[in-house]
Order: sequence, then structure tokens, then C-alpha cells
Amino acid sequence: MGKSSFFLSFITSTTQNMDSTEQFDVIIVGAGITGAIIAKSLVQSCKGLNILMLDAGSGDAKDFRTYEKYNDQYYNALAKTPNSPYPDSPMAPSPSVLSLHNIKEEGPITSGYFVQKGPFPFLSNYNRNVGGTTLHWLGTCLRMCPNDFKLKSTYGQGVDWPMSYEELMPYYRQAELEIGVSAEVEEQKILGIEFEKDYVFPMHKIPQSYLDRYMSKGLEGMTISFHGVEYPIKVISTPQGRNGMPNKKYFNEQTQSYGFTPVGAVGAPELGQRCEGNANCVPICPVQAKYNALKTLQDVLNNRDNTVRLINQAPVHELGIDPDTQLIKQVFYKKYATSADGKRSLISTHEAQGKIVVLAAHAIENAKILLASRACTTSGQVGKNLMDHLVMLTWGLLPEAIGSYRGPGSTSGMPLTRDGSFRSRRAAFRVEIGNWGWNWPANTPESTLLDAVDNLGLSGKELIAHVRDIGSRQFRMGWEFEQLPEERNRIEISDDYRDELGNYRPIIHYHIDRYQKLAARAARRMSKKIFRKLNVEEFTSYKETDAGYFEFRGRGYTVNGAGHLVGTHRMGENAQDGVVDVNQRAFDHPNLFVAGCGSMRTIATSNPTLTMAALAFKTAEAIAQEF
Amino acid sequence: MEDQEQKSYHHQRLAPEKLDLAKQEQLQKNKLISKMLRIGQSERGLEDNRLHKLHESLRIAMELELSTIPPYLCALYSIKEGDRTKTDYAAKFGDNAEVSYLIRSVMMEEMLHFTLVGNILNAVKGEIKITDPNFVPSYPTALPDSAGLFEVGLQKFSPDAIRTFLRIEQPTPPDTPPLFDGYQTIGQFYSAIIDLMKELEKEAEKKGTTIFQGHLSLQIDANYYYGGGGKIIGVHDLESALAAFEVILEQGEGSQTSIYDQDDKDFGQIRDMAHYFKFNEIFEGRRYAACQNDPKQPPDGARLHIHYDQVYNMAQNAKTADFVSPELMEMSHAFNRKYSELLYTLEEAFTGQPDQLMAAVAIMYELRYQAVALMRNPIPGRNVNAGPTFEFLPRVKA
Repeated sequence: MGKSSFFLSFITSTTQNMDSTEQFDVIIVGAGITGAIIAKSLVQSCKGLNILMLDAGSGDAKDFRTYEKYNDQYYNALAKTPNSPYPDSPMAPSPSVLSLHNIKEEGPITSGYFVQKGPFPFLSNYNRNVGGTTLHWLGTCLRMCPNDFKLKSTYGQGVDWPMSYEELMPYYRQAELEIGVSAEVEEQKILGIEFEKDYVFPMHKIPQSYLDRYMSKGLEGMTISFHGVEYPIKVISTPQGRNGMPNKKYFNEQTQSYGFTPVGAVGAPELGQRCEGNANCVPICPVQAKYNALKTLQDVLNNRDNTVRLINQAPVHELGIDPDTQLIKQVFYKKYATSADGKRSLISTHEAQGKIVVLAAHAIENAKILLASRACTTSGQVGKNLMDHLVMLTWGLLPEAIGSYRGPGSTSGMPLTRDGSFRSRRAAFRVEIGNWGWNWPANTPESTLLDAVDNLGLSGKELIAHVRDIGSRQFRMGWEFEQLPEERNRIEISDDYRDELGNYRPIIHYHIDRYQKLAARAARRMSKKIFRKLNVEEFTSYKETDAGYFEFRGRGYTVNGAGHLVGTHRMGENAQDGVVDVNQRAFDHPNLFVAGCGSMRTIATSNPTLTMAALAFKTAEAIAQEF
Repeated sequence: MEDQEQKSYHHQRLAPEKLDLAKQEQLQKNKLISKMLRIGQSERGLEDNRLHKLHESLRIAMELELSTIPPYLCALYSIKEGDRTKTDYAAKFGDNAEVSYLIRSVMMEEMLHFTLVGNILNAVKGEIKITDPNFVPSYPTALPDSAGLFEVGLQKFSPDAIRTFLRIEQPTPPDTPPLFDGYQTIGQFYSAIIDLMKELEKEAEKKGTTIFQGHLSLQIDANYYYGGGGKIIGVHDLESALAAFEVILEQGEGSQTSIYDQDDKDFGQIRDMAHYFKFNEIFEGRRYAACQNDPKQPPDGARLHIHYDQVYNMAQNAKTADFVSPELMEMSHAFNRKYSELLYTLEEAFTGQPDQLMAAVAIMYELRYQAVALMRNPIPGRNVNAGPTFEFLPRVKA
């Protein structure tokens, strides 16, 4: 977003909204999964509430047509990045992977939405549109394991949570119903993760890929030793927010009945009732068999007992705080639109009042709004402790065809390395088995074809045979390292960096440390062992020019972002220790809730969405008691 | 001939079109042959001729539901999709995507009906015969056992195609008697089946038995059937069989008083219009207004901007042999092999391997891609394109 942007060539008209401040029972900022779940939970348990939902993005796919347009935009996109199918407005931009570079080599990153001061680039992004990042997520729905909530007391690292796995368990169950998770309890009872007696997931597990089964067989009985303890290298299916075969034994606590009906596409409910294996879950599931928050939102907007208004293209930039009571008095937002002739931007500023205000925007956006409002200052933790999973990829060719590029991006992993005594010295990691060949590390299959034509000079039948042979043997593994909370990994705001609407752009300071680097080394060792056992011809290569390249003890590694942004308004026992309490209520402001992944104290090794969804249900319960 | 003007709006298309005599004769002849073949095949060994009649009628009902699907598919797949991100999309394609959506929703409900009838047939211990060459429609066709008043063919999306679809889904006028043979509306035919089924079950009850002796494991349930415009019903007694028939009739025709089916009440779904009225919206180029409910009134809502020119120019009722070029003929042959495989897979699903429905779904996708590929290709020397021919290729028995 340089200062000579294309948008400034438009005549911009800004109007001050002269209407009196509108009053609401609840104002929810952000229409992603957290905002949608809180709203849905409220409209189900309350009557007569007047709720306002504000979303920054220009994309609003509540109707099927708009979603179909996203599909077309994806088909047309040359670089099929996670945000490529979705609208991106300079008035409320989304971060993009295309803006990244190696900071050590090329200096701070100032193009794009994020301002990155480094020294290490923050590699992840998110989506600012109605539905949020669930539009492009993969759908992995892992629960955290009990030790993840007490990392400090168990392993002397990081911090403990002010809540336990057991306390979150009933909310995990609600989240698994809302998202519609496909998995088998028998396989997920690992790492101390318990389930209620007789619990089953709403749907049976998504069938494991041929590759999963091939690896499972090839690695049978194998173990790896970390710090003197043997860990089984076991392939286990991954719970997914993706429609599969309903489990008849599923007991729905809400309706007090058995069975589950998968929720299809929004506006075309007969579509997407089962995963069809279209193999582009990221960036977009064409039939919405993968959960997205639009599904939850449709229930919110269809409710008849409460009034809900959802306004998009309405980014919130500040909260007004009453100096005496510390209550949030106003929510300030701007609306943007393009004039009918497409030549002018129409901008207006607004304010609204809510008895309860919920910040349910992205972890970084929540922090940005709090910082801009000088809210929640007691703990000094707002914007700090930014965490992500660092994903190292290893890839190679298997000796035989394993049917790459079919089905969901990943259907299994090796989760038994997610917890263990090694965590006192190095990060735990989750191992993900990728079904889409080298798509992530090497942009295959397109690059396979280009390589065959340009470098090998193949054509005709030889070319087809080559692509078929290589393409069906490509495979990769992902190694996702946990990160510890650190104050130096943080978001800041500055008047020097604003977007087209005049709202702050996030300035990110980010480091990786020895705890993760040691994990990278351990993962590399485990990868080598697995590749040897499966006779994989390794093609892994890490380049010094990679944005996420680092060296450790004489070896180079490249990591990527996982899109799991956590920790920017962490929960705590008290106002000194955290920004919010276990219900995600701000310690400093009695009528403010700050909800989302930003509340998580540690990231552990699970993709955070399921835990975020569980927390949202808990928060909604607390809000409902106010009415 | 009745006076068309006297009829309610939605019954006016019941009168036969003027098919030329030769065509009508051919249709009648086709029907007669297939019927004779059927009788010769399945009469044996059944003592109660009326139970046999029930089985046979249910098989015909399956054939009937099945025979509507290829024509609907041809119309649906011939509509070009366009690129919604282009600025001229709306001007070029108008509401064609809405039209596709309407046709697709009807087609999916036909699949549900096919499956429901299969469940009923299995419940009364009838034999499933999906791949019997005498039951697989050959196009153009008349609806099996109907009065044969109109031709059902394979053609691209056009006003003519929609007119035929309206004829297929024609609601039954009040006071129309149930009729097995020579029915004019599908509702008439189903009513006759329902009457016979009730009668047989009543007699069976008196003898302390039931006609619903089929094995429960043969029923297709919601685990395997999904997505097709409503929930599948497992059939195990008269009540569940009647519930299944009710879904078929209401989704198809609506009721005497409503253009909507009862899905919303039954399944907590969004209010859904019966087939006839969905097609009527396309035919009239106008949606029914949200407040409209009376089947006797024409649609009075927003205009549907239909662009009949954004359609693949598929040859009508073509056969593989018409495609001239060997490549096209091979593509067509491949399509027909797939289509035949689909029918065999469906038969397996109804005869004890319900999980074969998962395989069937995969085949349906392949069929779609192959059908569109055919439609994109011109037939050499003619100014029309190829298209799916839906010619059944029976397996050679070892």
C-alpha cells in the first residue's frame, strides 16, 4: 500500500455520519468463526436481542452467487495463494504471502499490508472478508492435549493456561458439532486426550488417502528416540471440519437426539454434503463440503427471535472508553463503498453503542483495535506474544505411484510427537502428511510440466509419461513446530503506516528462537529416517533466498507460516497476567470481550481453530448471562 | 378435446401436442415391444398376479424416474457457465446460472424419487431390474406406460426442452382417475400404484401377514443417499411407503392448493417449489413472487433474464453413429460405457451393496465432464455439436 496507490487517483468523498449513535445490545466486530459462533449461540439462547455485526472485508458470500464468483476468481488466478479467490480491498487489505521476502537479505518489508521489522519475517496471513479465514483454511480440527494447558508446570517452558483441558472439554464438543467434525474417537484418544463416555464425532473419519495407508504399512512398528524415550512413528487420521459419513451413534445434546445431518453449501444446501475430493480445500472448497463460518452465519441471520444486522465493508478502528467506569462507550467504524460509476470511493464514519462489545476480529486486528483505543493497558500484554506454527517441509519421490493430488490436502499425520519430555528442551511438532505432491514447496504439478518441457526437452507421449510418473510419486511431509510466547514477538501501530482508509497497518516484530531450531533439527532427523525406510528419493532443498530461511549449527532450514496466529491478547489469571479472563472478558473493561486465537496463551501443536471455536462457545455462555 | 381456455393455468399444457403420425406410431410401437418383452420375462413363478403387478409397476416407476434424468442432464450441462469475475458476465449470461440451479434441483429430486421407489420395491420384496435392457430408456422415448402423448428426447436447453419438461411434471387435475396404463400425468400412475399397494396390504393384514417382507438391509439410508433434494426414507411398512410416495408426488406436482412441496415441514428445509412450477418459472421467464402460492396463477415475480444463446448447440437425439469422426465416436462410446457402468453400480447399490452409491457418485462426476466435453465438440460437416447419447451397453454375460 504505497502512498501513490491507484485508489488515491480516485476522488474520495468522506462524510461524517450525522445520525445519532445507534444502540445495540451486543456489537460483534468480525464475522469470522468466532463472531459467528458467539452470535449464533446468543440468538439460540436469548430472545429479543438487537445485535450488530461489523466486518471489514468487501466480500460477503452469504448468497451462493458470490461464492461461485470466488470459485471463478480462483480458477482465473495465476498465483493460487490462500487469499487468491477472495476480494481484497485497499480499504481493508488482507496480508498476502506474495509480499514476503528474506528480511536479513533485503531489509524490512513495507509493501503489502503488514509492515515487517523482523528480524525474521512473519510468514502467515489471514482473510478479511465475511466468513474470515475459514474460507481458506484446510479444516484441521485437533484438540489441544492436556499438557498443552500446563506447559510451564509440566516442562518448565512457556506459561500455563488459567484453564484445563477438562474445563474446555464440553466446549470442544459444541465446537465439533458446529463445525461438523469427521473423526473416530478410538483413534483420537492419544496424548492424554479424553472424551466423554460414549462420545463419538458427528461424522466418521474422512477416508485416509492411499498415501496414508501406504505409509502406515511401510512404517509399521517403527519408533524414534528423543532424549532417551522411544516414540512410535504412527500414522493416524486427522480430525477434519469436512463433511463425511454421518455417525448414527452421534448424540446431539442440543436436540437430544441421535444422528447428524451434514450442512451443505450456503444458499445451495444440497451441495457439499460430502467431501468430493476436489483437492483444492485451500484456498477454496468449491462445494463447501469443508466448513466455513458462512454456514454458522446463515443460522444467525435466519433466526427469528432476535434482530441481527451484519454490515460488511465496515472496519472498526477504535473503541471509546468512559474514563470513569472504564466501560466501552462507543465503537467507531468507517464504511467504504465505490460510487455507482466506479470512479469515487465513498467513505463515511459511524459510531455505535453496545451494552456488550465483542472484538472477534483476527488476533492481529483485535490487537490493533485495542492499541489504537489505548484499551486493556494494565497487563501490558496487548499485541505481544504473537505465535505461529513454523512449518518445515520435506519432500521426495516414492519408489511407486501413490496417487498424489487426490482428496483433501491432508488426511493423516503422525501426532504422537506432539507431546513428550523433550518439550523441556525443544519445541514439540506435529507431523502432517500432504496429499498434494510438492504443491506447497515446489508449486507442482505446474512446475513439473514446465521443468519437463523447458529443462528436459520432453514432448508428446514422453512428456505425458514423465509427468504421469513423477506426478504420481511426489509426496511431502509438513513439520509444524510450536512456538513459545515472547514479548518481543509483537504487533505495534504507528502513524507512519496506515491503509487507504487511514486505519493502522500492523507493524510486526518477530523472532524465532533456539527452542524451535532444535525442533527443526529433530524433525529433519525423523524425516531422514522415514525417507530411508520408505526408499524415498529426497528432493528437499532450502535456499538462502527463501523468506523463512535460517541456519542452525551449520545447516540451513526453511520454514513457512501455517496461518495460525495466536497470542496477541492472551488470557490470564488476573489483570496483571493477561488481557482477558477464561471467558475472554477484558479485565480492564467490564463490558468488553476480546475473543479469538489471540486469547490463547500458548499455541502448542494443534491448529487453533477448534480451540478458538470452543472458547467462543464458552464466551457466548458468559455474555448470555448479561441478558 | 377439452376447451383449453376452461382449464386452470397450470393444466393447460396437458393436451397432446401435434406429434406427427409416424412419430406417434413409432413411440407406440416401442412401448408395445418393451412391454411384451417384460411380460414374457417376469410373469413366471408368481402366484398372485396383483403382487406381480405391483412389483412391475414399481419397476416401471423406477424406469420412469430414471428416464427423466438424461433429458434434464442434457439441458443442464448444455448451459454455458461463464466467468462471473468478468464485467460483462451479467449482460452476457443474465440469470442462466439461476436456471441451471433450478434444473439441477429438479434433477436431484428425480434421483431421490428413483431411490425412494427402489426402497419401496425392495420393501415389498420385488426384484430390482435397473440394467435390464428393456427397462433402460432409449431416446427419444415416451414415458414408460404413459399415454405416449409427447416425446421425451435429448436436447440442449431451449424453450422446447422446457415445454417437454413441463409436460413430464404436469400436475394431475382434480377428479382424474388413477391409471396404470396410458396415464397422462405421473401422479395418476403413482395413485394407481398406491391404491393397489393399500389393497394388497389390507388383504395381507387380514391373513395376519404383510406384503412388506423385504430385507431391511437392502434399504438405502441417509448415510449413502444425500444431497438430492430431501431426506431419503427407509421403507418397512405401509406408512413409510406412503410417506415416500408423498415426497415423490409433492416434489413433482405440488398440491392442489400450493406450488410448494412440503419439504420445509418435513425436513426443516427452505421452502422448495414443486418441479412443474420451477420449470414454469423458466418457461415464463419470471419467478413466482414470494407471496404467491396458488398453482392456478402464472408467475408474477421478478423477471428471469434467460440467454438461450449461451448454450452448447447440442444435436438433438443423436446416436454415437451420427458423430462422423472416430475421435468423437470414441468419446461418445466412452461416455456410454460410463453411463452403463453407472446403471450397474446403482443396481448393486439396491441389491445389498449400498456403499456402491459412493462409487456411483464418482461416476456421475466423470459423466458430467465427459458430457460437457462432447457438447463442446462440433460434429464434422454439420453445424451442431455432439452430446451425450445415453445408449446403454449391456455387459456381456460370461
